[in-house]
Amino acid sequence: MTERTRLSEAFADLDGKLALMAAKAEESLLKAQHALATQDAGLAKEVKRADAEIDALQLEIEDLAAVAIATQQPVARDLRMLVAAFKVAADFERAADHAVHLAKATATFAGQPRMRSLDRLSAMAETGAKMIRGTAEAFTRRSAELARQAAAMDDFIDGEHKALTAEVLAMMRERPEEAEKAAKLLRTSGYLERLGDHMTNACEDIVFMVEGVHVELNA
Amino acid sequence: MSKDSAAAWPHDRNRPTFTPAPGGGLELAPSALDVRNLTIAYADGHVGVRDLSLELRRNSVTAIIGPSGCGKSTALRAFNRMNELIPGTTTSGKVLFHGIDIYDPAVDAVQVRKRIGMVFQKPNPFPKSIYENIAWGARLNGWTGDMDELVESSLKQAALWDEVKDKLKRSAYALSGGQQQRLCIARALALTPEILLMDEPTSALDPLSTAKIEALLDGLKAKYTIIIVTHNMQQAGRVSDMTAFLLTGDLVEYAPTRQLFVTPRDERTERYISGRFG
Amino acid sequence: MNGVYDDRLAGRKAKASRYGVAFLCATLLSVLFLAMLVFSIVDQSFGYVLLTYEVPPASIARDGVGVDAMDAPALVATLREGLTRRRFAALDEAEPLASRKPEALRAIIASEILKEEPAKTWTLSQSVFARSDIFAFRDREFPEGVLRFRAWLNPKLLSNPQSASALDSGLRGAAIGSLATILLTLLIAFPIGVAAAVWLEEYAADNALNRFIRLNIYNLAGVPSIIYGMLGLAVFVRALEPLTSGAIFRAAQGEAASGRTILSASLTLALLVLPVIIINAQEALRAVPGTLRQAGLALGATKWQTIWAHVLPASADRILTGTVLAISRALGETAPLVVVGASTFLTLDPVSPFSRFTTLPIQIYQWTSRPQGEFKNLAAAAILALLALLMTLNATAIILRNRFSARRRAGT
Repeated sequence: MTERTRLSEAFADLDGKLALMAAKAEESLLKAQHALATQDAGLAKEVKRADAEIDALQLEIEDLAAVAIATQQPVARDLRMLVAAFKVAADFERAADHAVHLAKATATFAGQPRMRSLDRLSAMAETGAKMIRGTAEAFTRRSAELARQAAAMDDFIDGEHKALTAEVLAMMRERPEEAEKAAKLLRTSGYLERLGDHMTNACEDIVFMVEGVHVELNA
Repeated sequence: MSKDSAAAWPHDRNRPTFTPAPGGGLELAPSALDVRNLTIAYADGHVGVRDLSLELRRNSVTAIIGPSGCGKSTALRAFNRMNELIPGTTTSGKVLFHGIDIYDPAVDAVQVRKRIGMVFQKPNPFPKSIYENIAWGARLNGWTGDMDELVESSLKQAALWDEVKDKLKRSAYALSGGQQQRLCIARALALTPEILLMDEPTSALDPLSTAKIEALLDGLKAKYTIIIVTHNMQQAGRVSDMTAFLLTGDLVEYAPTRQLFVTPRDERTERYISGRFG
Repeated sequence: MNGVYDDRLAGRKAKASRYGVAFLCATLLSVLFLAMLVFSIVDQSFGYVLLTYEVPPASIARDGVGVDAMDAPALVATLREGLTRRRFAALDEAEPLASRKPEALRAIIASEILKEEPAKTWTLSQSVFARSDIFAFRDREFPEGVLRFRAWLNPKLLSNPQSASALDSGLRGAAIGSLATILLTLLIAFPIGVAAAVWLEEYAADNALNRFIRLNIYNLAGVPSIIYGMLGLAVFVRALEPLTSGAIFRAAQGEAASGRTILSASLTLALLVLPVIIINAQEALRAVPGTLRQAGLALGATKWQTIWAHVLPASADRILTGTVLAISRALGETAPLVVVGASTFLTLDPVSPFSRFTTLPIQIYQWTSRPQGEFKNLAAAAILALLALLMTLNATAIILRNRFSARRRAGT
């Protein structure tokens, strides 16, 4: 069997960069969660800085995949893999953006007593981070199984989001003067819910990459 | 291998012209070949290549692409003076190899061709045994080392050893087209050239043989500088580090392959590589 | 067929079959001509001979035993009685008669004592189909004569030197002369021809002068051979006599020390075949793909190294074939050799390039021009011998060529 060295090298490069990007997104999300829990404004700033690096990584991945498509004429699984790389990188980039949104919430809830809803956000972020890691692993190991497992975690996030929404609505009814905070909570929870959706989409792309069939995960 | 082969090649006869070593060791020029204002015209007045200037990077694969008749093969043949075989061809400009113009009257084309090898469009092994195909050129150029060893290492470099090691005494004509072409590569490598010129080396081969030869190039560039002419633009994309695009004898664009194939600077390059030529 | 297919198909097929028949006829006609030629030669090479004797064979019978039944000592005794003492001594001195074969002794008796003479010969077909007529003729015209069925093509034809008698005459001298001349021609023309072809094809620039030279080589190939004979006479026989007679090597063959030697003949024939060999070799070299030359040159070989190692071996089989064709032509040449001065009657074998010579075609020509009918039979047999020689030569070349290309295909 003939090895296509250059294509293999491009794939290895892509895997490395995507894994790095996922790690950074995961780290940002966990940092944002920690910042929110500990009211650490410095940590929140770090999250914003990391976002720039993640954006740069996304461009690198896109260039890499574009060059591979332009010069190596990939077909079949090779092509699906490069197309998936584009999409998964974009999803990671969005995930990182949502981490930034979570970090921004830190200031809003500064000096607040502990709230049940904040705990929910924290749990959602933690699951989101696991999803990011799982998605990256599914990609680099070309595993539809891992992708399905990662996507399955979205159910938890969706459930938390629903519960949090109900709580916040109750809070708004009881204490209308806290409406601003309530809105912030809802929006942040929405971001995290979308983060889960992005990772689910990424996992669907990974399943297509591996198996060549379009699937709807968590439908 | 390089140390051993250096010992077995008679330096005094074959190398000194191209080894300007005032400091003692072999000084590497920044580029393997430095082409300056090269113009080649045929006997009928047709200009094959016009005012071509480009520096070919050491230890990399450079592809020369362009439509039929653009002068890419003409240019390649000028790099080891094979164009002189066509009567009436005139060449002006310089091709600097280790700082010395290969067209300098003091330089013999035979010496140039030993240091700058060539592989042709159609596999052209000699009608001799596989072994003799490789040994002949080496013996001719004064190889005094172990011939069996040279044959083996050359065939290994060309990824052909495993397929032919049991039939070295058989005729090269018994090999398949792809194997013949790899034998031609091995034959050229046996002279340990610095540069390997390849003139559409896979255009007469089936896709599988083509893939094998392409896979070979990546490994070879560690030791050699490879310049490949191809009418197959996709091949240029697959195998090369640098790409030069020629059009009717003019160099239109010379850039890293990844750049030329994704963001070409010239409109004509864009049209050609995207298949909208003309 | 509803206009879907071409409706004139039947007409086209008929036309094609008419051509087919015409081609077949042409082939059959040439086969017929060839068969007629072979038949007429073979027909004359065998047949009845009517022998007459001055001395009746019955008169020398010893104790009722005829010559044909005698053993060797009896034959020697017959010779001792029949010949003069001097003649007997001379023969004995040349080779002791007692040690000669009975067959040879009988031949001497037939020619020297019985004075055997062929009176008339018949062809093979006459001998087979008109046998009774032949015997009737003998009974009517030569009641004393003996009818023998004779194969004119026999071992004696090859081993005997030329002789005045058709019954004893052989073509040994001519065969040796032909072989020697051809061999020498080959040795001269082949290297020169191939070298010239290599120069013209591989080295010569494509300019007016070289084109002129090429054109003239083509023209020379078409010049009538007699012209070469005249050239040979003027240059080799006359101008270069000291060389061609062997005088400067002190190797001249006695009274024959003129330029009319095997060397002159070979040089003349070499000139004759040179253009053909050159043209053939040029074609052979041209047929070698240019990629082979490029392969050699790209490996840092010089032009000559490439030609010697690859181009010449690759064209060797074609060059060889062309050379054999040319040599076959030279083997059959008569006219230039007559002009150069081939001997018409030569009883001594040629021993060196400076010997006088004759060749098979000349021998045949000379025999056919004799008035006696039996020499026509002899000529026919000689033609068969010449054909056999030609075929041997061609076969050798084909075998050589096949071995060449087989070796090339197999490597080494």
